[in-house]
Amino acid sequence: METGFVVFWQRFKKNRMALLGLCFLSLEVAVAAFAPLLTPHDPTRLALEKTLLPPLTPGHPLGTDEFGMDVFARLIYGGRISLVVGLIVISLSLTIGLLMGSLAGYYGGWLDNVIMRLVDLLAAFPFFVLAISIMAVLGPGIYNVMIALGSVSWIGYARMVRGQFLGLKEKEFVESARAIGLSDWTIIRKYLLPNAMAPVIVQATLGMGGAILSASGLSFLGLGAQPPTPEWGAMLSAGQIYIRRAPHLSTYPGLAIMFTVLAFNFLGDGLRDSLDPRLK
Amino acid sequence: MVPRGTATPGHARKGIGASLLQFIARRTLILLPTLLAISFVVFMMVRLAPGDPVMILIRQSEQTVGTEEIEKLRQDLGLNDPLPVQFGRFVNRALHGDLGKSLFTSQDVFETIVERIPPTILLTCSAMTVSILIAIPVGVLSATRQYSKLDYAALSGALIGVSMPSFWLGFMLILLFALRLGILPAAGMAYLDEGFGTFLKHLVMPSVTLGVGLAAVITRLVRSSMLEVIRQDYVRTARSKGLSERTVIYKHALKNALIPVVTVIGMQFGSLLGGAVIVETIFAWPGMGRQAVASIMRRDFPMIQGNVLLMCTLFVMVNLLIDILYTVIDPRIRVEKMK
Repeated sequence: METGFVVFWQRFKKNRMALLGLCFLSLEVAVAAFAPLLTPHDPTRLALEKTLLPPLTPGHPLGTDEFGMDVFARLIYGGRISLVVGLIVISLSLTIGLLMGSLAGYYGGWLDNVIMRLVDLLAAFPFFVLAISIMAVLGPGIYNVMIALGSVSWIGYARMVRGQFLGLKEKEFVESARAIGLSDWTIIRKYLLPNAMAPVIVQATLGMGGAILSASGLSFLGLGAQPPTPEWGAMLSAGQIYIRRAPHLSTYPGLAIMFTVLAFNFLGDGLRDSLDPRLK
Repeated sequence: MVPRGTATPGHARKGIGASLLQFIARRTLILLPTLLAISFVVFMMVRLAPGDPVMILIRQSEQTVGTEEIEKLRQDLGLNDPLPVQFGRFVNRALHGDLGKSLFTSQDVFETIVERIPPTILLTCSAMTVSILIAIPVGVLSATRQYSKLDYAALSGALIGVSMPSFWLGFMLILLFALRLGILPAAGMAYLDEGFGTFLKHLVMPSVTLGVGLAAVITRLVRSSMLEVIRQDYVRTARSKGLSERTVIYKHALKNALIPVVTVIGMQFGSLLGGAVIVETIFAWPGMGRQAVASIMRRDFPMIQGNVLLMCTLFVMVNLLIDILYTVIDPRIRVEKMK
């Protein structure tokens, strides 16, 4: 296992873009975690005496919004929301996807049929349209965004794991595991899943970017995080009225989303090249 | 359009018309259960939403309506019938163009949405055009000059393109072209009778905003597909015949490299429809996406259901068209799928 990691790291560190992505994300996680140490401002405190200050105002490096809230503070606290939302969406869709994909791929038969028809049904909806439909049922809110996106985006993982399992379960090492009488669950967990994970990890990394993008899109539409929550999409949406007077209100949150998603994409591409060069 | 070099024997060619029809018939039949399943999901929306469907459908709180009245409404709306009966009625009505009335404006849902379909189709198709116009030349150049600076620039550009939130790009374009330079309108759609120039000016920014993400996806695909094709024997043959590089690339290689691109374009139509929800909201474009969002905000369920149902139907139809188109371009697929 250790040599596997060394080989992976040797390959991975040659990819400058992937390293850049990793560094950026590490920095972002640190900034989000230590946000209270980096800014004296509360991201949701009104200060009506200093609204719409431009960037580079002393004490407010990125200016203030229409309620006098510090944009820099809101941006770094917003990182917490976006990263956590991305992580939860991916965890949720991975859990469902791995479970469904494993069941379908390992057992086949009617179970496979039922699961794959469900996957086909969800795939017949345009992704974002299905997400807003679920939001319509659940009602607006950041938790509902996570549920909506998580319950829509698992199908890719399920298909991927199922496909991998179909090839793997005929292999000799799986047959021998079955021959020594290991339970199905152990075979899935210890033999099949570890061998099927490489493309899943890549897809999950790229999926983090996608989840952050979709979640901020839903918040932008007013279906996700509600003001004054410092969520990037919601900030951008609130800033649109002031686009003439204070374009910085919509510029910075957009850049924050873009760089974060870009970093995940760089990282995902790098992981793909170094985990499994055949996928390139 | 049979790829050059693959000779089609006469007897096989005769069968193509019939087998194509057969394929289309089969593919259309598969469509029915899909549409039925979509309708079921849409039908269930009101039933799954928290709260009593009656209350949702009359937009009233329980305090203002008496219990007897509620019971009468429930009876009138058919909510006491078994679910399969209710669903059957829903489908039957939908097939007759009856999707109910808006809870907000009391307008007929189907009539309201029908007006919104052409703007959405216009927007998605022009976004598709924008993305193809960007992606094919860039992808081809990138592949023919693999590992050059241009290739890296194209690849980085494509990554930025997929990472950029469309709502942010839309704002930046409005800021630059509408507010600073004042050469394009910031919002709204113009009809053709207002003049072609005005029509086009309104269309440019929304289409670019929606198309850039897809352009990025297609560029990467054209590049990799092209890289695969230009290494093949028939391209080498074309070169060795002394054809110019231009003819080899554009006439021989590109044609085959585009085959996988066509399917992806079809699948991506769904992402364009989803993206249109956001782009229509930014640019106040009078399409289905913006209407869907507005009706979600008002919890206007018949309107939400109608929009979602029609958007999905549109998506399924486009995929059917693409599938058929694909088999016309590449007969091997048809044979494969018929098996």
